Amino acid sequence: MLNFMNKFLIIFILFFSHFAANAQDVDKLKSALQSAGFEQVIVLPVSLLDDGRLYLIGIEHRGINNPAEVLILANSISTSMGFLHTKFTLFYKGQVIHQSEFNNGTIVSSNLSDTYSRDFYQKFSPRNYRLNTFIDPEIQIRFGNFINPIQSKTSLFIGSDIVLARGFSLFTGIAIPIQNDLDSESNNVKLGSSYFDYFTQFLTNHYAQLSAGMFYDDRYGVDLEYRYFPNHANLSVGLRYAKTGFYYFPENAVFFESKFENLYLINFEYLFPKDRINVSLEFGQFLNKDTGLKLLFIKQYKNIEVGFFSTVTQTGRTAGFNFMVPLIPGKIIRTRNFEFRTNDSFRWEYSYSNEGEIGRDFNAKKSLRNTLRRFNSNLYNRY
Amino acid sequence: MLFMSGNVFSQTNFFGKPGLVRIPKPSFNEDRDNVLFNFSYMPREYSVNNFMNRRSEELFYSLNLRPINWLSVNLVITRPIDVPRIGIGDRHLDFQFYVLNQKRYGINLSMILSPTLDASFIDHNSVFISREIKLSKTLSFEPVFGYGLKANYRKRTKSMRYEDDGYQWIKKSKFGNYYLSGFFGGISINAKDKVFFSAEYDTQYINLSSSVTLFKKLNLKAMYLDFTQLTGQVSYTIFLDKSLKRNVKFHE
Repeated sequence: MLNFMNKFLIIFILFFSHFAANAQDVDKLKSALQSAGFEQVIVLPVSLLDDGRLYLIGIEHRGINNPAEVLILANSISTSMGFLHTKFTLFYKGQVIHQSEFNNGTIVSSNLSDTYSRDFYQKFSPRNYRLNTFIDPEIQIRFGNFINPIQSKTSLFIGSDIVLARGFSLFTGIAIPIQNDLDSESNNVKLGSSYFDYFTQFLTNHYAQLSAGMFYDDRYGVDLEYRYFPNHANLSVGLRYAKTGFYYFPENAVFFESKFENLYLINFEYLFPKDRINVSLEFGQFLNKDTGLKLLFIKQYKNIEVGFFSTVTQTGRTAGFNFMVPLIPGKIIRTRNFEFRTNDSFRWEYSYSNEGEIGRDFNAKKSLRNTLRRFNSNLYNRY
Repeated sequence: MLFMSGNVFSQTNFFGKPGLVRIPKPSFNEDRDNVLFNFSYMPREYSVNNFMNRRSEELFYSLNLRPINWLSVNLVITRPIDVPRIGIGDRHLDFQFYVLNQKRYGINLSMILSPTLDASFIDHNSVFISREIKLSKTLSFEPVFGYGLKANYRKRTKSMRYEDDGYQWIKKSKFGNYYLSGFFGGISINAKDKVFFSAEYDTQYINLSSSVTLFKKLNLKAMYLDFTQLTGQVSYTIFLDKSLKRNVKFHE
């Protein structure tokens, strides 16, 4: 009897000490994740298991361009702090992408149920984001002029994607010109690309992005992109429609061309997970009313993408390559409410032909297609 | 899988492809998560590109990437030093297909195909075989043998003063391109995957080279062409599938 009482007492004490420690531990975990660069950290205690509690943890990390590495980092922090049963939900601008858990070292992902999405959304707050400022060089080069073979224009973009509400953000910044022997744009510090952007997964696996403002590549207007991007499939399909005009900055002024152009594109992309290669076929009307198609092969490395493309349009044909790399050193300053870093995904493209603009689009840096590609969970265990 | 083979550096030719001095080799390197940047110099007498029969000292800037096990992509920019008004230079692209590998088939067999872009004067198409023979744990040698086509399928150029009469087989020598035209072969010696020696016949000359790899990334190479001219090459490898330290490290 005494034995039983002892056992009961021990269990009783353990139970309550566990419970008391809980709230404190969760706060510790949150601040550990935050100091590692995570934002919008939301921890939901769910059910009590035999050997601890299951936690659903919502996270977003804007300094790492590979979601698999985001998950690995979050998992290593939470296990080292004694959280053994966790499921991680990745956010993009506070919107749920999907849920992942670690099962004997492999990442298993699934769609998150609506109930839990709602729980996360109730706790969402724009104040859970830092002012996450990044520095990004913009380099345009035109090769091939006989006398001056490398004409270039370099400027430095310093800006931020400021999340105002769930999925809704203002992307803005300044552009500091460094050097220009390419065109006649002024050498003053000017407004960088600035636009409002709304991102949503409006139905399971159906994503949309609506942007309006002044974009990269000297286009202003509206840009609407839809993508069917199933969590476990290799094929994804996208549609894009944009109505834009040309803008540029002459001396002490900004010039908006009043003529608007339509762009509509259909895109099929298939992932070969074993080789981590995406084959993408895009066709429709590009800028300059140029209809045609573009075939693109993208190899996905851990933090780098390398692509080779070939374009055939009314205007002509061209080929080239593009890449995406994270810039060093990464984080420069990080405090509770502020972060200053280099861009986690700097993109650049080289096209063989520079006679006329063949199959040109704009704002590829922030396109839905490029954002979602890395979130394909079939890739997570392949790096 | 990525680090199993220890990021072994393979000997490259002056184009930055797996190879000896100037000829390529078909060896199947297990590592493929890397990109190689290469810079080399060819003196006037041994120029390769010849830019429409305009001989000059030539600088080669190239990049080699192997996105799939059986395919590598090679980009080469030739900058002839003394040829004015050429813009960025000659831009060349080719693919190397690793068709057979020694592990499964006893020999290595590769093909290099240059797609017809009508842009470059160093387009070449060839097929070649090799077999690596281990002498000891750290020393091996590899005979290579191959054949390169003497003609390219392309359009005639304007400066040949012909009408545009479409794509056709044209002798490479008409463009001053003598690179890999006919039978070639050589032997590569590999010591500890760090020091390499090569001797070869490249369809024109007999060449020798020796190179050393430092820090697993930097390769310095001296080439002795035709037993008369000494020249050099530098290449640097970047491993693309490594985690950035900042992404996996954390402090409590």
